Amino acid sequence: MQDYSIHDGDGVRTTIFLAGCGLRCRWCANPESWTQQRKLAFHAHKCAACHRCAQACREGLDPAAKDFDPARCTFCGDCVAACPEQALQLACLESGVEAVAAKLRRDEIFFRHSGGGVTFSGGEPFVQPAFLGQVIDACERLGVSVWVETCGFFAWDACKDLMPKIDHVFFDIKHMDAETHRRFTGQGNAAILENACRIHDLKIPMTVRIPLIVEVNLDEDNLRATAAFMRARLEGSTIELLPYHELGKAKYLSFRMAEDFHSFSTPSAEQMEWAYGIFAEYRIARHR
Amino acid sequence: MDSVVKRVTDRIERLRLNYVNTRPSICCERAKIYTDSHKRTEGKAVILRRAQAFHDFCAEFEVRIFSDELIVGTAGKFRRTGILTPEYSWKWVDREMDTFPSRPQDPYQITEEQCRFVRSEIFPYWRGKSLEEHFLASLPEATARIAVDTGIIDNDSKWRQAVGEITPDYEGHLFRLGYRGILQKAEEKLAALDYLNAEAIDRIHYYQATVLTAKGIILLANRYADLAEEMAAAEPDAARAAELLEIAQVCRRVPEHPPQSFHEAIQFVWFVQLGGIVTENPLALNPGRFDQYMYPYYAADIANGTLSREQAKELIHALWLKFSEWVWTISENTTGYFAGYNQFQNLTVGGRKRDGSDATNELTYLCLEATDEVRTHQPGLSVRIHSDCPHEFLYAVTDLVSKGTGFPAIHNDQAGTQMLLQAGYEPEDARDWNNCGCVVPHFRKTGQWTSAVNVNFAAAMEYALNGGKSRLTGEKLGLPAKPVKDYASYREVEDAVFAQVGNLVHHSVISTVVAQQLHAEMVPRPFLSTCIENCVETGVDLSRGGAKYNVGPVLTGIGLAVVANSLAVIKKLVFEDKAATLAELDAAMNADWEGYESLRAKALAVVKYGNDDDYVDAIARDLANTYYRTTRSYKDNFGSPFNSAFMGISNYIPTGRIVGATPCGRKARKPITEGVSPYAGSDVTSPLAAMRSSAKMNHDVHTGGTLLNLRLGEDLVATPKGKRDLGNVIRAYFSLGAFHVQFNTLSTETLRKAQQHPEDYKDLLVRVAGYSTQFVNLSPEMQEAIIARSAHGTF
Repeated sequence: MQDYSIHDGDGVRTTIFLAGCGLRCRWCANPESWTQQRKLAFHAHKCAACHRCAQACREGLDPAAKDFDPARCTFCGDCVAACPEQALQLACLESGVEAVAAKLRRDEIFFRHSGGGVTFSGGEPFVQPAFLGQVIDACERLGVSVWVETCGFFAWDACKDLMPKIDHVFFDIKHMDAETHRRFTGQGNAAILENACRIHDLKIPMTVRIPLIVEVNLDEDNLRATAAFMRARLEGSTIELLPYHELGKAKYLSFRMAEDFHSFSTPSAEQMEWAYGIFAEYRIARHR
Repeated sequence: MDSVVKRVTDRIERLRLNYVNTRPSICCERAKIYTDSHKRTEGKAVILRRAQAFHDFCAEFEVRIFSDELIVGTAGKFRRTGILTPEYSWKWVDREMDTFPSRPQDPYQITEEQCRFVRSEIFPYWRGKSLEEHFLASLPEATARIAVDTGIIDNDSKWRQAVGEITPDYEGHLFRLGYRGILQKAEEKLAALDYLNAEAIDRIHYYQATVLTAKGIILLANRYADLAEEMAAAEPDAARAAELLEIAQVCRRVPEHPPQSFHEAIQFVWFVQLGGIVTENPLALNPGRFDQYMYPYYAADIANGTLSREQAKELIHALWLKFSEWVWTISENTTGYFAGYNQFQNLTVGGRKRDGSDATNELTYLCLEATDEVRTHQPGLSVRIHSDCPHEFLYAVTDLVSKGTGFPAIHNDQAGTQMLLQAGYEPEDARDWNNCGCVVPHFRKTGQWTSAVNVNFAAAMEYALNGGKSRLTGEKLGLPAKPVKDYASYREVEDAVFAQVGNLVHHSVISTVVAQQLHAEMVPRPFLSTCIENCVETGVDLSRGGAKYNVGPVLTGIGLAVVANSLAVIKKLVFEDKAATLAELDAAMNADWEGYESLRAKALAVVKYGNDDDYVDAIARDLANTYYRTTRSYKDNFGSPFNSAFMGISNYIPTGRIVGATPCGRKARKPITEGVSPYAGSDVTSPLAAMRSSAKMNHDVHTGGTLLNLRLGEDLVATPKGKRDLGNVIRAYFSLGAFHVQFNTLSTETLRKAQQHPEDYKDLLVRVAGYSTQFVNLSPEMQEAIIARSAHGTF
C-alpha cells in the first residue's frame, strides 16, 4: 500500500497493489506482482557481505548468494530481520481486510480534504475478486472513493458485481492488434477489449491508459485504431498516455529476474504530444 | 537561476549578486562609538547611558549610501556588515575573532588591524563590565556545570547576546505616532513626573532615554537625507540623481513622521530594524504582519497612481536584501544552534484579521512572489493558513514550496490563536499573531524570551540510563540514578528519564531568571522599547516588563523523537520480547554498537516515531505532555509561567555531539532530532504518516511553538494537481490540530551537485529547521544532515 499517490486519480490517494496478473508485459515495471506468492528481494548494492542473513536462515540458505534458490525459501523473514543494512525485503505479503481498513481509516483525513480515496492497482486487482470485494465494501463503510486500475485481463463473471461500487476505472489498452498484443504480453486482446466495453456499458467513468513504448505501440495506425475504438465503443472515456520508463529494472535485479527484463525506448515529449494530438482528432479528452 | 535574473530589475539583480557573492565583514565603528560614549557617561543610570550611546552613534557614525540602493541605512561601513556589542560579551569575540575568517560555519571578514584595535581600544574598557561576566559570576555552580557551553542546556544567546525577539508595533503605534510623536509623548510624560520615589525616578530615566533615542533615530535619518542630497548634486546620471533626491525626501520624513507613501513606510521599517540592530545586534527582530500594516499605503499609492505593482515589488525586493545583508554576529557555539548567517527576522503574511475575517490581500501575494524572485534567506517568510483562506493563496504557497527554497514556513492560523489564548492573550490580539524567529507565535505588544533555553532530552535520557553520568566523558551531570541493569520495569525507566528531563528544566529556569535579572539591571532596551506602545505609555522598559503582555520564556525540547524511539526499543526488546537485557544494551551503547550489529539491527527494526504507529508515538506524546506540565510549573521574574516548545533552529546537531549512542540505534555524537520531526531517515512510511505522528502531540499547549520539517520528492509538487494536493494535505494536517510544517523539495541529487560545485549553487536555499538559508553556507556536517533527512517520493 502506498499513500500520498497523486498520479492515480483525483486528490491524494492510497494505492493498494494486489498481486497476481495474467499478462506478462515485457515492459512491466512491477514484475514481483506477476504471481501471488511471497518473494524475497535482495538489494545487492546495500549488502555489506556480513553473512548474518545466511547465519539466520533455518533452511541453510544464503540469501545474498548468486545461486540462492527461491524454490527452497520459506519466506519466513528471519534473514530480513537479521540484515543490518536493510538489503533484504519481503514482497507480496498477505494482508487482511481489517489491516487494510485500519490503514485507510488513518489516511481518510487526507482523502477528505483532497477529494482522494483508494486506487486498486497491481498486478491485476480483478484476479482477487473475493478480497477486492471485501476491501471495496470496507471503503463503502468508510465513505472512501474507489478507483481501479486494470489491465483488463480478468474473468468478467467473477467481477461484474463489484463494478457498480467502483467510481472510476483506469483501463489499459496496450495494443489494438491481437497478434502484436500476444507477442508482447503473452495474451491476445479480445477478452480485454470486451471487458472494456462491458465496464463502459455499466456507465462507470473510464480513462484508457496506454503505456507508450516506442518499439511496441507508438505508431500512427495503432493509435488511430485505439482512438477509433474508444470513439465507437467507449464514448466519453478519456485518455492518458504513460511514457515507458526503465525504473523497473532495479526490481528485476533485486528479485533475481534479470533474464525477464527487456529494454525499450522512452518516447520523447514531442512524441507524447503528437500521440495526444491523434486522440484529440477523435475528440477524446485527456485525463486530468 | 535564469528565471530569477529575468524576474527582477537590473538594479535588484546587481544588489542580489552583491549579497550572494560578498562575505560579511565585521565593522568596529559601533563598538568604538558605544565604548567612547560609555566612558563619558559613567555614573549615570544605565538606561540613559545606553540611550546616549545610541544617540552618539546616530550623530557620529559615517553614513553611507551604496550604489543602486533605494532603501538606505547600514549598521556598519559595509553592505554586508556585522557589528560588535561588547557590553553583552567581548570575551568570546576576543577568544574567537582571529578565526572568524576561517571558521567552518558563518565566517566573517575581520582584519588583523581590526583585531588589534578592539583588543587595545575596546575590550579593556568592558573587562568586568559585560553581561557575560556578570552572568557567569552569578550563576550557581550546579547550574553552570550543565548550562555553560555544554550542549546539555544551552542559553548562551541570552547572555552573550541581546534578547532580540521583538515584533515592533507599526500598525498600532510607530506608524501612528512617528518618532516625533513618541518624543512629544515622552516629553509630556516627563513634564508630569517628579523625583519623588524610586519608581518615578525609573520612569523619568526611561522617558529621558526615550527622548534621546527618538532624537537619535530622527537625526540619523536626516543625516542620510543630507548625504543623499550631496550625492545627488554630484551624480552625473540624472535618473540616479532623481532617485537620490527622492531618498532624501523620504529620509527627511520618516521615521520622524508617520509615513505617507509605500516607499516611506518601507524605509521606516528599515530604520526601525537598523535601530534595533545598532542597539542590540538582535536575534529575531521580526517585521511581523507586513502585508497587513503596509497594505493601506500600498492601496493608497496604487489608487492615486503614484505607485505601480512592479515598483512596489522592487521596493520589497530592496527591503528583503536589506534584511539579508546584515549579519547577526555570534559565537561559534551559537552558530551550531543558529547556522546560516540567520537573523531570524520573521515576516508573517496571510491569516485572519483581528475581527476574524480573512486578511489576505494583494501584498500577501507580492511577498510570496518577492521571496521566490529575489531568493534571499531573509526575511523568514511565514504564512498563516486558516480554514476559510482563499484557495488561490494556498496554491501560491504550495507553488512557492515547489520552487525548493524551503519557504514559506506554513502555519495553522487557528492553532497559533489557540496558543496565544492559552498564554493569556485577549481574543482580538490572539487572532493578530505573527511569528517570532522561526515558529513561535508572537504579537506586537509582547515582551518574551522566545528562545530562552535549548534542553537536550537525549542527554537527560543518557543520565537516566548511565547512572547519572555522561556516556562520553563519564562526568556526573544528571540526577543520581541507579545502575541501568537494576530497572525492573519499563515504567521505571520512563519515570527515570522524565525525572532527568525535569532536572534539566529546573536548571534551565535558574539559568534564565538569573539572566533575566541581569538584563533588567545591565542592558535595558531604550530603542526597542520605543517600538512597543505599552512601554511608552507606562514608562517601563521592555527588560523590566513594560510590554502589554509579558509572556514566560520558552524552553525548547530537543530530541523528542530520539528519546521516544529509544524508550520504545527498551520497552519492546527488553521488557516485552526479552530479546535483550538492559545490561546488553548498555554494553552496546558503551561500544557505540561496535560488535553489537545484530542488536543494533533489532533496535533499528523497532518502529520509529514518524510512522503513525501509536506504540512509539504515544511515548513521544507522554514525554511532550510531561515536559509541558513541568515547564509550566515554573514562573519567571515577571510571574509568567515558562512555556514549552519543540522548535528547531539547527540545535539538533550540537546537542547530538555530546550524547553517546542511544538505544534507538543512533550512533554516538550523531545529530538528534528537531522539533516534532522524526529522526532523519526513520520516517520511512510516508510524509502523511509523519504528519499524523506529529499531530498526535498536543500542539496547542506548546505555546513556544512546534516544528515539523519534511522533505518532499520534487515530483509531488511538479504539477498544478500536485500543488493543489499538497495544499489539501496541509489542510488535513492542520485539521488534526498541528501548528507548523515546512518542506524541502530539493532532490538529493541536486544537493549532491551543490556540494560538488558550490560555486554554481550559491543561491540554493534549503530549509534548515525553522528557517531557510543558503545550502553552500552550511558546514559539510550540516549539509550531510540536510541530505540525510528522508526524501519522500512517490515512485
